[in-house]
Amino acid sequence: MTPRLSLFALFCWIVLWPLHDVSAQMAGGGDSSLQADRAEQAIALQEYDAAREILSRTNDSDHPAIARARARLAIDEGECDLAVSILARPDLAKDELGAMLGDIARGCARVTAANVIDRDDAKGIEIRYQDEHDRDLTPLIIETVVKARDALTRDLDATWPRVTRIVVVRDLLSLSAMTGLPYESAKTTGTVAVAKWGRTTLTSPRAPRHGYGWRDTLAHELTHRAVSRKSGDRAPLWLQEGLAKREEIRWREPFVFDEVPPVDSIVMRGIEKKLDRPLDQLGPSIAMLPSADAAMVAFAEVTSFVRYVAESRPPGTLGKLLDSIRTSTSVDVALKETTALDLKGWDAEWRAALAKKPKIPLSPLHGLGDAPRSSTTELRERVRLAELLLGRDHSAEALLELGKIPEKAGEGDPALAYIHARALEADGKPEEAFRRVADLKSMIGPYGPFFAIRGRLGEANPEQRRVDFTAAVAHDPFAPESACESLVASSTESPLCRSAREFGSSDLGKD
Amino acid sequence: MKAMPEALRELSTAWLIRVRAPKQRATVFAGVLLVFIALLIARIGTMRARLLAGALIVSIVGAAFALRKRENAIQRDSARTLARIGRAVPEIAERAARALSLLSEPTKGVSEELAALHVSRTIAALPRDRVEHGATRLAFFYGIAAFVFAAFAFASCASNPWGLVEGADVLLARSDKAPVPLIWLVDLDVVSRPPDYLHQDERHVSSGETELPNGALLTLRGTPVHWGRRLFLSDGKSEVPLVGDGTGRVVARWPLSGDSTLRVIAKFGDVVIEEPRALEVRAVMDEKPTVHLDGAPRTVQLASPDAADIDVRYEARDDHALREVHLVLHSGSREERRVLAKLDGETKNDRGGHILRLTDPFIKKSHAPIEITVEAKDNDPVTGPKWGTSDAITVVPPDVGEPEAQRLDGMRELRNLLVDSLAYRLSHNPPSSPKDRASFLSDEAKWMSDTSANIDKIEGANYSGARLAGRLRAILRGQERKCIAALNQEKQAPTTQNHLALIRATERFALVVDAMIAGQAQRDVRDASIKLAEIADELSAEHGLLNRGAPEDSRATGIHRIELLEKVLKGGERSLMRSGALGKDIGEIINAYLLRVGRARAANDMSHAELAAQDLAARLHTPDPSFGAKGKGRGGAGESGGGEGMPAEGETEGGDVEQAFNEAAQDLERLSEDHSGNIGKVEQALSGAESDDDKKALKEEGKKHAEAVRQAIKNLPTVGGGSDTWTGKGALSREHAEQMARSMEQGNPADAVSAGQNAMQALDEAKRLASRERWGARKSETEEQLEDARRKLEPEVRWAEKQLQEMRKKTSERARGDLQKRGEEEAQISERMGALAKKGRAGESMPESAIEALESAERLSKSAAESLKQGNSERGLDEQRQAQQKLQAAKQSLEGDGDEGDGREGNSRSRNPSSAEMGIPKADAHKGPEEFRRRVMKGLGQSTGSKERDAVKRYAEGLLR
Repeated sequence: MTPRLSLFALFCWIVLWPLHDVSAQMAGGGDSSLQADRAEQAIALQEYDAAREILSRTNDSDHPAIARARARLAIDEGECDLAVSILARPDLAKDELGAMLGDIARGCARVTAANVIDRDDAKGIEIRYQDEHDRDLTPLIIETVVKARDALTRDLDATWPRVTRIVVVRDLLSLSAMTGLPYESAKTTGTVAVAKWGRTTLTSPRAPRHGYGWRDTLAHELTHRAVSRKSGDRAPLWLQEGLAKREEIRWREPFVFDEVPPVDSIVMRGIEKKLDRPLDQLGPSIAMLPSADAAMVAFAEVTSFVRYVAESRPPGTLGKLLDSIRTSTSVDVALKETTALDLKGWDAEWRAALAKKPKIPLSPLHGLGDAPRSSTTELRERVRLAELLLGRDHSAEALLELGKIPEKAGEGDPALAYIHARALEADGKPEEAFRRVADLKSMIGPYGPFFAIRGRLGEANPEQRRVDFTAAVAHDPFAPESACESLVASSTESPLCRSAREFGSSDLGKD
Repeated sequence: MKAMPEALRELSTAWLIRVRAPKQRATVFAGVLLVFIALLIARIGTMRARLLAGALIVSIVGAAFALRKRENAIQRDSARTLARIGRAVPEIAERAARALSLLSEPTKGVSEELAALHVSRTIAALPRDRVEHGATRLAFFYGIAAFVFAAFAFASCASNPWGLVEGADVLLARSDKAPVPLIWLVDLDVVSRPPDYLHQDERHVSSGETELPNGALLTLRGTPVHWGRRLFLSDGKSEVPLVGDGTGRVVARWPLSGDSTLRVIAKFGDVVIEEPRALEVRAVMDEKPTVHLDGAPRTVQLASPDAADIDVRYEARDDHALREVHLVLHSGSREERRVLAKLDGETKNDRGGHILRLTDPFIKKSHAPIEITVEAKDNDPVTGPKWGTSDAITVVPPDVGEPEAQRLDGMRELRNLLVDSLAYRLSHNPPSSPKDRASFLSDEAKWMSDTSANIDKIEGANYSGARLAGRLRAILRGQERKCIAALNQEKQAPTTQNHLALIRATERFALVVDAMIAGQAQRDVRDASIKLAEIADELSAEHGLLNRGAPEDSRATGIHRIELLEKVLKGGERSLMRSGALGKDIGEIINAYLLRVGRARAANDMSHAELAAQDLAARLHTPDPSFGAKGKGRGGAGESGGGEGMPAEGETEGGDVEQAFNEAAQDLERLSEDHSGNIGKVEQALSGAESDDDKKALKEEGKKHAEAVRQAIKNLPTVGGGSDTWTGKGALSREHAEQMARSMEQGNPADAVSAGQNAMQALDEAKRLASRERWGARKSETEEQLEDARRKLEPEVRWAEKQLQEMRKKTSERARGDLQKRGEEEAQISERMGALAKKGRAGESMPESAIEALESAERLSKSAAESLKQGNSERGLDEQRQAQQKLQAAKQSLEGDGDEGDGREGNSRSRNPSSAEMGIPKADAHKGPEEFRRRVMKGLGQSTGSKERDAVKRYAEGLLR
């Protein structure tokens, strides 16, 4: 190489050197804040591989925004210990967002420490159990997740990340620690599950004394995950919750209690009691509303509204709406683009339609006040005396106590029907007992033990029996009567049944 | 080599005869001198010096060998021999040397025989005499040299002969220790002085083996054999220098610490030369105290029904003396020491005892096994005080929550009995035939008596320290009364209606007990959970220590502690599982979380074990139900899903009756305060109605009577000879009388009456005691004096009483308006008392004793109200005070016999006053304390002369502030 050529090469290198940096920045997505934003967006879309890729290309890994994004990614991917160590940096701990993430990370690290993990790699499901006695739910959880994902793909054209992460926590305290939902709010509204931070955190059905509809709840939370992914986490609360309420029952066969209590009636009662709120003013979360009644009305509002929108437009509209929300400047624009009406227009139309509907009375047992205290006190006391008498094998006397309950009091209460049936069964009247629980439609809602006794007594109809036990397990899986399908222990019991017998609730009147 | 020519051999022999001996002497003496020098160098003792000396000696020996060899070589070599002997005749010697070269280097053509002939002739030409002369001269010089060397060697030896020995010893030292011991001291004297705390005398110690107390000070004296050596006393490890004591001897002091072999040593540089003699001293160590604890080792199970307070009886002994005895309680990581005895450091034995109560705070707060030992400390200042420890009495506390679970079991037993009796009553109606009816009523009575017996049982039961709270006992008794009343009604008239009433009472009773169980269970679980949370905190901390890399020995201790803590938690889990829904909930959580902790630890993942334990601790610190929904929304899912909100789900608060009881207790508290306030108002009204003019007049008149009082007591003794003697009582009477006189002067008839009555009483006592000392039937002079004093004092007391009565009458007249108002208030309060008693009866929530006390209070209060309205302040106030006492009695009945605790620790959270709705008193509502303050200030201020009055007032203000 001649000297002249060498000088030319040096000159070129000096001139082009800054351009190398620019190209690198272009490839990496600009400066650190921009890269962090992009990574956060990818995390919101549950595109974790892309987020990791963006963060790996960063030049300034110590930048607070990058560190926060890394921590956020670690939390979403279940690496809470890593997130804790990242967020331990003093500058991040001082920052409000960093402190909040730090709390979540620490709570998550504490709750998930030494958890048992069940994985189904083929189906892309990972389930962590804070209480390993809940592991017997794994087959049911996997079945629910698979069916719910299919239903959501069908209804909303939803796509799914590689792994669906589920954490089953033992109580509301852990739910709060894992999600950042204030504990008091969780207690006030009776929140049992939260879909956030890349996972669905579900309270164990053994936490409430008689379980809850945990399978529908799981489907509800998966809907949130799908909606967040599809809308770029931009769907408003009313749409999030409305869709979730709509989809929580569409993963399975319709059930008699799917419309109980009628949401429209709740909305109307809520409007009467001034508990209703405008759809766009539900706050950050329904779980943070001031009371369970307010939460109930809000859920009914969004459910009724979204159902009205869905039924007023061709199938697939809601999926398109979510796509549009991701790319539009506002929800109203997206609504108008996909449904030809904005939120105000839809709200007016929905309220008008609601007003035209016949008013179905709501049972006092559904809440929203108004239940006369004297009758509920009497009901409660008689039921308790009957339980105690049953617990001491005085079934005939228990029936006498139940017979003293004023007429109409407790009508449609599945818990009362269950105790009555148990007393009749113990008194040697199984047919009469079955008749007491035979009429599903007269009940005001689902109740695990109620389904269990229906299943046990309805031997004549094996198909209905199967439906009843499925419903029993879907609501109270750790009640021995639900899990074992019998009150008597046998040698060929399922793992769930064994677990229920070991840790399940004690029988009537024996607590 | 050619043979030496004969002539040359002869000359050489002649030379050697003259030179050899002197030369050998010179060589030997030179060698000796050099060796001496080497030894003296070696004596310096440093390594360098010893190496130098050694090298020197080796050089001398080498040189000797070399010289010897050289001499032999010369004698065999003709040329060198010729050169040596030919120095005296060099010209001929040179010729002879050339001739010899013909023999040694044969030349071609020269006959060997001729050469030999030539050599022999040349050598023969050497003059023998000159050769001999030269040899003689040389021998002379060697002689002089030998003399000089010998002289120097002798001189050095003579000046320091031991130095040469020491040098040789030092030179041969191995590992800095000379091989040959030498005696350094003579006239040895060793004295031992035992440590002061042993209080023993000094004694001489003979050489050889001896036993001395550890810490003794040995003083060794002796006369050095050779001066100028650095002498030390050494045990092979440490050294003490021997120094001159000013009397021509040397001395060293050696404090004994452990067995020692003491020797005197001399130090030369790095090398020591020991004395052959040694003093073998066996140090007698001060043994640590031995402590015997009666009955130890043994285990006390606190959960056992036989568990009783622990009688800790000990005997501590020490070989010298004891200083302190402690009772040591150790549980988990906690330790508490309590001094049982502090001794003077002279006592060798101590016996004592201590009762450790099962209610001791340490025991109550410990959930891990507690080791109880007695430790005694001796007075050894030498090695520091040593502790001797007894065997342990191990107290195994019941599982956390176990006593409470037992109590719940007891309550469940009662509930079962009530449910069974309810079932009987529901299924049996009063028969119509008299015969059947009698049997039926007998059965009914049996159920009731069984129930009462069961209540008696749980009321008196002590479940490892947990008892039924007083208010719960009161509620049970209230329900029992109701049932008994209904049963009595049925017995009197066995109608269906009365039977239904009995059923209702039984139903109510069963529900009340059920609610009590639920409420009690919740309180118990919350308390137990908080206790277990502390254990879980410790568990987490222990894992944290292991996680941060504890040393191997403390790791084993840590693992042991962890196992102990887990055992406590598992025990708590077992108890909680028997304590209702919340207990079962939290018990399950403990079970599940401990599995996590154990799994992580088994995988040596201490970080996650620590976190899992933290998770457990956080949960136990928040003993809420796992799902504590306050709402009742149902059917929903997701963020607000599932909230079935069963009313009993963790929110039971103990039932309506318990609530009614708490309300009644709060009402009674308020009532008592209001009534006390009204008493204060009456006192205030009376006080405000006193007239200053009346007081002034009374003061004036009182002065005369005060003088009369003083006159009356002037012959009484001023100082008593004991409280049980007439003089003692007489002196007391005098004091009271003087107080009476002062009160009269101050115009305070109430105090004067009180003091006067006391004085009269004391005088009567004095008279009685004086009469015992009488010998005959005749009254003694003392008795007469006392009677005289009484005779004079009595009218003064009567006068004061009259004044008081008149003053009260006037005061009541003046305060009539106020008293009327207070009377009306009192009447209102009495109505509230009646209403509360009625409510208590109707609400089945108050014990009978409380209701009776309330009713008495109501009667007294009503009467007080009437008296006050009529202006009879004295009677009214008296009745008010009695009514207040009855209210206090009612409060005590409600609170039980002081054992209000729900649990073993006297926890009275269930009646949390902070949670009660408390009325805020108005400015004039409660004057009691203010009135008390005013009276104290006034009383104290008036009781002394004017000089001290201000000071007393300030003092009183300070006390009451």
